[in-house]
Amino acid sequence: MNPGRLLMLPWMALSTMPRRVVAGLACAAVVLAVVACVLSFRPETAWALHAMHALVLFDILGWATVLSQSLLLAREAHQLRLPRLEREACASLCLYAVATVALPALLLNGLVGGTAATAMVELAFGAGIGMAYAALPPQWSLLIVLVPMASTGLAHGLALPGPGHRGFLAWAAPGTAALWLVLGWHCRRLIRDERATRGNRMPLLLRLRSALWYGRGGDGGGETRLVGQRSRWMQPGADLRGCGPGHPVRSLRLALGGWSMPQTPASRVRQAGLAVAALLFGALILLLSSSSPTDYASILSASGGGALLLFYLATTGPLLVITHMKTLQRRWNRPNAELPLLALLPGLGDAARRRRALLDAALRPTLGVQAVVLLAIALLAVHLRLAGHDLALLLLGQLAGMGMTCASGMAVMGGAWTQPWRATALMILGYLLINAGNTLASPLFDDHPGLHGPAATVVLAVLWASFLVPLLRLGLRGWRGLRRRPHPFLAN
Amino acid sequence: MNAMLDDTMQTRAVPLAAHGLSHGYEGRQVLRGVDLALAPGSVLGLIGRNGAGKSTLIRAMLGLLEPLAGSARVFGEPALTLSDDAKARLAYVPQQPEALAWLTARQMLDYLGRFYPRWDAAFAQRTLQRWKIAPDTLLARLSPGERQRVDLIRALASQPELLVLDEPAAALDPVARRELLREVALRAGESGTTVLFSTHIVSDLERVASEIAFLHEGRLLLRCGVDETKERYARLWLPARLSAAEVPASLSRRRHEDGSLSLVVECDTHGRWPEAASLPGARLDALGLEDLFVEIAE
Repeated sequence: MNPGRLLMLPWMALSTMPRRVVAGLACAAVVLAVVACVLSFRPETAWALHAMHALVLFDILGWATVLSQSLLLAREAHQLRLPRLEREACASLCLYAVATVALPALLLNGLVGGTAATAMVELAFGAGIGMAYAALPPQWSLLIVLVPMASTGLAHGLALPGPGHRGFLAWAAPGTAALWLVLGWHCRRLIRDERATRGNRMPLLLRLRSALWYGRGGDGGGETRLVGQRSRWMQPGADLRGCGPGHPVRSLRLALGGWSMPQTPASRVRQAGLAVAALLFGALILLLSSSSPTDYASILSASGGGALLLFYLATTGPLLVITHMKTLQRRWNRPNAELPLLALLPGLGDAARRRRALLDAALRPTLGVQAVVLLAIALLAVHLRLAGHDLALLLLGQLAGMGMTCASGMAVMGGAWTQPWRATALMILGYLLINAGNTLASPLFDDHPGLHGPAATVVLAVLWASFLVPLLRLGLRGWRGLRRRPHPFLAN
Repeated sequence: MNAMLDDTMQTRAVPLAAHGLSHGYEGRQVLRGVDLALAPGSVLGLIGRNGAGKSTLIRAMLGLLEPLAGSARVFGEPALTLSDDAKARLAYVPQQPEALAWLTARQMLDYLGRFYPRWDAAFAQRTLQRWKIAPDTLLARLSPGERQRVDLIRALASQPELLVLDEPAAALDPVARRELLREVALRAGESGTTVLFSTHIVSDLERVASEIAFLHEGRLLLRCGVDETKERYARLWLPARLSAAEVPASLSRRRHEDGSLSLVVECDTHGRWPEAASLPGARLDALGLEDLFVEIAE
């Protein structure tokens, strides 16, 4: 076997665009790390520790995105009865294990000192986390990803020694070995037993395969497959009562699907239960990631809980834009699905009435929830006696989120989402700005007074303007497009 | 005044008509000035190779996309601004239907049935049973063939006057395909439903279509009755020594390695073949529908 070819295999298993994106991001990360090292150079800095953390992070990301592709290749080689390729793909994984775990550990040991065994265990753990995220069923992937976040609290709670302390290897080495044993057993099943990865057990690696190879638009049946694979109790139950020609808005909400479609009361209760479970899970992770009992007390106190809830609400409100936007994009990108049905459905009235009903059905549910979140934030902020500028920053974020809902919705429905990369970049900028504002305004993170000065205000104002002006233009283009269209159900 | 009224009445009587339709995607021309009209009660099979523009033509004729040029009318109304009345008389089944995957088959039929004034709920229920489709299963969990059948039931239950099917048999097994064709023939024969369906399964066309239209590279190359093809079109083979002679107008022409020439020719309105067919050494072969399709599309 040619080692060069073995090193290239996982890259060859990726399609061109993701390969370029991953390679570009990796190069950018390396350049940024070097620049950061040069700019913040101090002789007393613990370089070995920082380098180790960076390498662990690199291993997590590398194994989750690129190196796990060899597993996919091995699986397909097995299905296509190509034993040599299957062996090569497995050998490629082993070679990368040496290249990303053993080799850096020895190099680090040689260059800056420390224990090679500790470094090897940490790197192997990082690689295992990355691989587990890609290859295990998604329910397990989620838990695995949260392990590093919760590790501080867990280590504290269970009195386990950390990486620099004696006794670390005694628990970390067997733990990491166990993780890799489980992974090895699971990977073997993934390669050889197709039935083991069907339905809910399908790992992220397989779920993302179509998207990576064929792009988002090409995977037209993605949503249908997702709905089909969802457990019965997680599936929203449609409520047909009140739908019909006399009720175009409710009828359109049903036809557009997603979380905002009319649902039976039982279904609403189930969905609310899921949201509460997510909230409790987030709080649990925060508790686990805290390292001292005083942190627990602070989080569980009335003001700490209020601040936590405030931050949670402030970040969740704008998140709704993503689900809203994705739902509309799916509808307007598939010419064989709901659009022809709606375009030829009688009883929805003339073009102007249909447009009004559609805007109502598509935007009002999301805007309604965002408005409730905004009100809750305002009340909570008053209760917590937040400063005026903090409250303004929080409310500005929520209003911007509502603006994003309107602009993205109209851009999709009006056929103005013609440059998806630019529009998506705008939405990401908006989300980052909103969250930066939330972080600055939240009492949870009140230890950065320098960021409240006039310079910070000017920078923030410029950034907000660079986001709001293009957002307004996008929304206006969408609105004009929607008005110009002879009917609103034309695919993009 | 009377002539104008007659003209308007005539336009209104035509269930589906396209005039000079042109369309393209990303700089590639898909339709090139297509003219097509369906007479009431006719069953027109639209045939063509993959990528010939069949689905685009159907979508443009129904107002599901804005063509770059030309216009389409449904029951005399502009396709892009149809009234509720025209929509209630029309049913369309797209290729690989994917709509409303989050509903069960029963919910989908119940929901859509509320919008159609002549909805036949008993037919929908009966046919679901006959085609062995579990009514309470989510559409997302049905196989592609089952989903296509649910969509066909949806289309037929609305009792349309115009039925447009885009590759309706693509995902169906032979039994389901035959049942569908029987249903289409029955609707056309008994209720006078006008049907337009696209396919590349030639035997389906021969079974139900009264007319065929051949779309090739965005152009409508020929349109005639299914039974007429054998009498109207033939393959004219000219040996190498004759191939330099004046060649008649043809639907397709292919030169072989030995220099001989194969042409698909059409007889004139008096049933006469081009003069080249009577040259010594020339050969004229009658073409079945499938042979005609292959000769033109190859």
